[in-house]
Amino acid sequence: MDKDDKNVMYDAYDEVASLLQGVAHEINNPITSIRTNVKNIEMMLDEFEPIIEEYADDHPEESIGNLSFEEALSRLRQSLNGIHSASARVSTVVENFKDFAGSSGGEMTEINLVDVVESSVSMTSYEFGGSDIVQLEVPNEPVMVNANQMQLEQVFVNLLTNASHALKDKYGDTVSEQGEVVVSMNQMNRDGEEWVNVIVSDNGPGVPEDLKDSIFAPYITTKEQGKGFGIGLSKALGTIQEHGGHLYLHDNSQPGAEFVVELPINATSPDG
Amino acid sequence: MDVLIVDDEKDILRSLKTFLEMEGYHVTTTDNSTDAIERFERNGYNIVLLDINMPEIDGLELLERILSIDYHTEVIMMTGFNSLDKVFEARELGASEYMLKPFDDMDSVGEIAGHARDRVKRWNRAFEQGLLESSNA
Repeated sequence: MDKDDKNVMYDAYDEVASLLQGVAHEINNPITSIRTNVKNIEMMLDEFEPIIEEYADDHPEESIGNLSFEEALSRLRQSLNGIHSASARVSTVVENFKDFAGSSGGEMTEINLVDVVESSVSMTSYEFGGSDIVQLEVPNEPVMVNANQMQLEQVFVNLLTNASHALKDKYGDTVSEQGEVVVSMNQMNRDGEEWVNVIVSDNGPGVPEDLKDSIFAPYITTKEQGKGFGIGLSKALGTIQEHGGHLYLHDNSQPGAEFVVELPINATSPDG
Repeated sequence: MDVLIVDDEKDILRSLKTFLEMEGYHVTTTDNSTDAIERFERNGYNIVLLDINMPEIDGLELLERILSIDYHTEVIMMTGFNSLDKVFEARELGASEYMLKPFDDMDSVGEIAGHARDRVKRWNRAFEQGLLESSNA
């Protein structure tokens, strides 16, 4: 890829990042309003509750529909909790997108790749309709790599998003029943050095044979018009290569696609 | 304790006003920077909750103008994560505190306002004590 292609690619990502930042900012204010209003209702309910309870004691024959006053108060608190937790979920999604849309620059630091993969799966859960299509098979202990966390998350989010689109193309409305994505992580020793690979595999239609050799080139896309302009895998490859790793499409005989990210594991030396 | 809330989002003004009034404050709100300055000049407020991203006159300039009218005002900046760098600038200009939207926990909003109120009361007491002592001297 020449320098001009790279610049166009990064400009496009900057535009998307800027858009996501703007969306995040716009969502913050209504979330603030929701939380403050919920708190106000809770505080007022604390004041009203003894009055309502006294009234209920004096009027045992009365109810709200099929609910006793006691049950209605309990349901009211549950509703408020529901609003609060839903707004917390929205905030989490917004926070994840703000991190994702943050500067593509930044330092390389020692990070736990397991956290990165788990965060990326979480960020893309809405792509899979929140269902359990994605199976995560990662170690319980940390796997430390030297990396830019945001850039790595962008790579895995891109792979997972591509997988979700592939599944929707193949299975349509039955994707939650038939679609499968497996994200697995394994460590291996290669020529005396420790590596980790993260495999994102799906049971979608797979990459067309005539595109397999060029899938990582810019502007190559298997998606219909309007659904991505084919720079994600190209940028992902560049990012992984900058991290000293490899990204490739594993050509196996299974249906679907299997993308493999390989990264060197941080060497731990007693001398520091 | 008199509080002025300045934010261009009416929903936030309404809900914060209710919350702080239940906490015992006298609260005025405005969604307009020019109106905020006029009210401040007319009435004075002990505490100002100020959105850092106001249209027309932005939050930092508003902060400077409020503090130029009364330097002892407790100004608490309200900001989204995107404008956190502006908060540091606000601190240099004399802001007392900041709150990050969306507010994770309304109890902490109450605490921040409460600390500002306590500071105001302490300084007022010290000022009155100082006046009393100087008049007895």
